[in-house]
Amino acid sequence: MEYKRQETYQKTTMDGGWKRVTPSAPAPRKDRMVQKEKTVQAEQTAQVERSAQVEQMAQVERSAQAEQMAQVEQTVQAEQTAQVERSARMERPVQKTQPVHMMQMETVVPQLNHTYSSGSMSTQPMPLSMPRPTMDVHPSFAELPYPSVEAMQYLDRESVRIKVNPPVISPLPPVEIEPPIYTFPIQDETECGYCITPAMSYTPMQKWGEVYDPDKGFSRGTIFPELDLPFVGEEARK
Amino acid sequence: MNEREVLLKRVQVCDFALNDTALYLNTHPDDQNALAFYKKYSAMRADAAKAFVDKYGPLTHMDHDGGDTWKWVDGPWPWQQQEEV
Repeated sequence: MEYKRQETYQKTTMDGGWKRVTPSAPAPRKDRMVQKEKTVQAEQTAQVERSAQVEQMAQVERSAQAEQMAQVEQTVQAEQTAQVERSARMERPVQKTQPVHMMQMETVVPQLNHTYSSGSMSTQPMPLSMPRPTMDVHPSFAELPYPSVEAMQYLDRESVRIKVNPPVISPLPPVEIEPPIYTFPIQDETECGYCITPAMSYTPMQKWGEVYDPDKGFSRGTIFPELDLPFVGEEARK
Repeated sequence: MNEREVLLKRVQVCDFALNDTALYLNTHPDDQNALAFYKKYSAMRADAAKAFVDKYGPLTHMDHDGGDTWKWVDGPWPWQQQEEV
């Protein structure tokens, strides 16, 4: 096949005119065949590499998903057992064989606001120090020795914060919320505040000139007459 | 206005003038007129303070004269000024 000489034109960017471009003649047929084979081979190797990469990525993703699922299951199980334990602790009936301080802690502490003046409590012997309750205590009090019931009568209600039965948070799928589109009912764009043209201010430098006598300056609040600008308020309008 | 008040007022007036001049000098550190004014009233303030301290005791506890007695607590407290004057 005879190669037909082609002439194309390109627009030059420098002067906006047109420039004639003559492409160079192609390589001989043999060379072209060799080059074609090379490109085919390169393509094949690239495809193999690509498929291997895709497989690897898929495997990594699968293992990550499995790990995540296992973690979620673990946390859910832990929460469930914790909840069961908590409910069991709260609902455990008060037995007379239990030591007195255990009874007081487990039954009375969750109802701090209406207990200690009751007759049933005062008849029982009060231990001087109490073991720490098994429920969650505010972290600021976690390190302190737990006060006796006697002492707690005089404590501020707010100073002892005891968290009873924290809500169990189950993992929920994330909910996508579309952000609301805010529209401003402003007709004139100069009203809206951020469309105002910025201003430039100029404050001349003060120069040393006449100054008040220090006695007068003391009573006027400044020794500089040019800065003696008392606020007159309503008088300014008169 | 007795002598004590006059001397104290002189110290206060000088202090105020010096303070205002110091504000000016913060932005005009090479203004010779302002520097001269500051120097003049600084000396005047020192004289007024010395006159007061010699006669009526320390203005601040740093005016301690180095004597055997701590005179800072002897003078009237600010809320006693009106009673004694």
